[in-house]
Amino acid sequence: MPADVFFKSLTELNRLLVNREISSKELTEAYLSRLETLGPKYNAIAALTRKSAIASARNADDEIKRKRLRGILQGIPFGAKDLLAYPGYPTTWGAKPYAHQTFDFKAAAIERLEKRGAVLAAKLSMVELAGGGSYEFASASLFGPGRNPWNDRYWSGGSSSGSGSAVAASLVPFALGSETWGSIITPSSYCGITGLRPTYGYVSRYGAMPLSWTMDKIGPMCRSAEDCGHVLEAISGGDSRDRGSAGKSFYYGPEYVGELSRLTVGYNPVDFEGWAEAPTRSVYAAALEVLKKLVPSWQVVELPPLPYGSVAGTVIDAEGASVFEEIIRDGRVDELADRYQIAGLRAALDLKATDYLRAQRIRSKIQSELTPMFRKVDILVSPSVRGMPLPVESSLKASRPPSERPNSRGLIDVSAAGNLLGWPALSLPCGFADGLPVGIQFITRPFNENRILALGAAFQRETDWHLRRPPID
Amino acid sequence: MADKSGVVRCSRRELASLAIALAPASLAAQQPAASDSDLLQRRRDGIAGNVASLEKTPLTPADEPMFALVLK
Repeated sequence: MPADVFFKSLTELNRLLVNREISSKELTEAYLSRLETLGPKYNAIAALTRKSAIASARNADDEIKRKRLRGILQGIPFGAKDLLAYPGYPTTWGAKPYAHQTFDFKAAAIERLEKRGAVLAAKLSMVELAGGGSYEFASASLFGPGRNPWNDRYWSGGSSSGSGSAVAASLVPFALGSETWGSIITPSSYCGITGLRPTYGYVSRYGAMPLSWTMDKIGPMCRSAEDCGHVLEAISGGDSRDRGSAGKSFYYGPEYVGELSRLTVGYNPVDFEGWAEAPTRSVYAAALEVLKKLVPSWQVVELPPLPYGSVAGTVIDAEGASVFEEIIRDGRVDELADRYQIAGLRAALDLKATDYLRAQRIRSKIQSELTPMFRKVDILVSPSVRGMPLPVESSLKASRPPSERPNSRGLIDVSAAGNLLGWPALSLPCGFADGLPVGIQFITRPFNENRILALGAAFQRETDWHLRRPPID
Repeated sequence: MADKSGVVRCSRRELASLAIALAPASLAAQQPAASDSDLLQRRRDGIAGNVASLEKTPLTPADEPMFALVLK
């Protein structure tokens, strides 16, 4: 199969399948072969689901032949982070204590994709327990450190490491990831792909490993904003099996947003000129220039001073320690790969109920104080992450000395705030620094994904960063 | 890159790359071996730091916790 096929958009792949220029079986076999050959280079694979994939692909071909069309994803292979249950294959949560765990049911997000005819080709690697307890090294995974297709000496980001590298290297056309605090946006940024963290409650978490019941989200990791829109439409929707479900469905329609020129963007120059690492600043300057032509109205905004990181950290620590209480108490937690993470989970078990409640009380306050911001601006724009990818051997806990920190905090806490408040965010590539991708993110109010997808698609019409291919073959 | 005073300034990433290039074995393997009890204490201190930061935010009895994230 020509290499170009692996880099086609979902719309283009759908056209090839519906016109029967290729079959789903051919496409799936080609991706499986690519996963098998290249996946280990990036430590991207948890398990290939070859047998069920070929059966699903044959079924898709049969339906397409009989004109039983199920939409744009029919017959297209995908990968899923290994915290999503799928019968017949292990679901390891990226962690040794769960290396042989299996479930006899499907995660809702995978089930929904299969209803649209998509073909699960692989379970993808991840940071152990989605990073619960916080980890120090990229090697905090049953599968080894996630390696970046743009330079495999560098980390692919976490915790959806395999989803990020597999999409970047076109081992799958799209993947599912999950985010509690940064786990879709970070690997999307590091790997130069387009990732969407949906509004909390839009996508059912039934069959997904919980880390924080009040913060976990599942979302698409793709090669373009348009692809993210199609995948979110397929996986969203109410589900009584998920207590956090918003009971709403998403319909992809960037045209519903109207003229982008009527929107107002909120941003803070200090994020791009002060907090961003030096090699990325000129990249961001060029990206902002493109964006300012698309949306002329910009306002400087700053988050009010509240302890966003401490609230998010306390909520995740307390809920995560409760989720994993059994393995912490019985000692299986010691089988994890990262000693910092083991100690973190043990320490979190001692958090007091009053401290957790204090965090949740301040979280309510944050919601009251920040929600009005979206009356003044429609979209917030900031760097996707503070720094560039680090080499896989580096400690992830090194921080910038206080003397080098800017005086203003700008929107530096928007990742913690956005995750606490369930805001959707889209990360997309906006250039390269030192040969590695740089990501920019668009954030908006809950259930307004079309707005950030429309801006993302417009940006990707003006630039070609999302079409660049890493040096993989 | 050197500034006017001749001081070489590197980004955190550049420093990390340099350190790895100079190191014969992986940095992870060379981490000073903090004992498990030291590491546990370090993590407890981190959590206590978060809690201390939360305590600086004034609350009244009317400030209710978010028991579930409800979005409209």
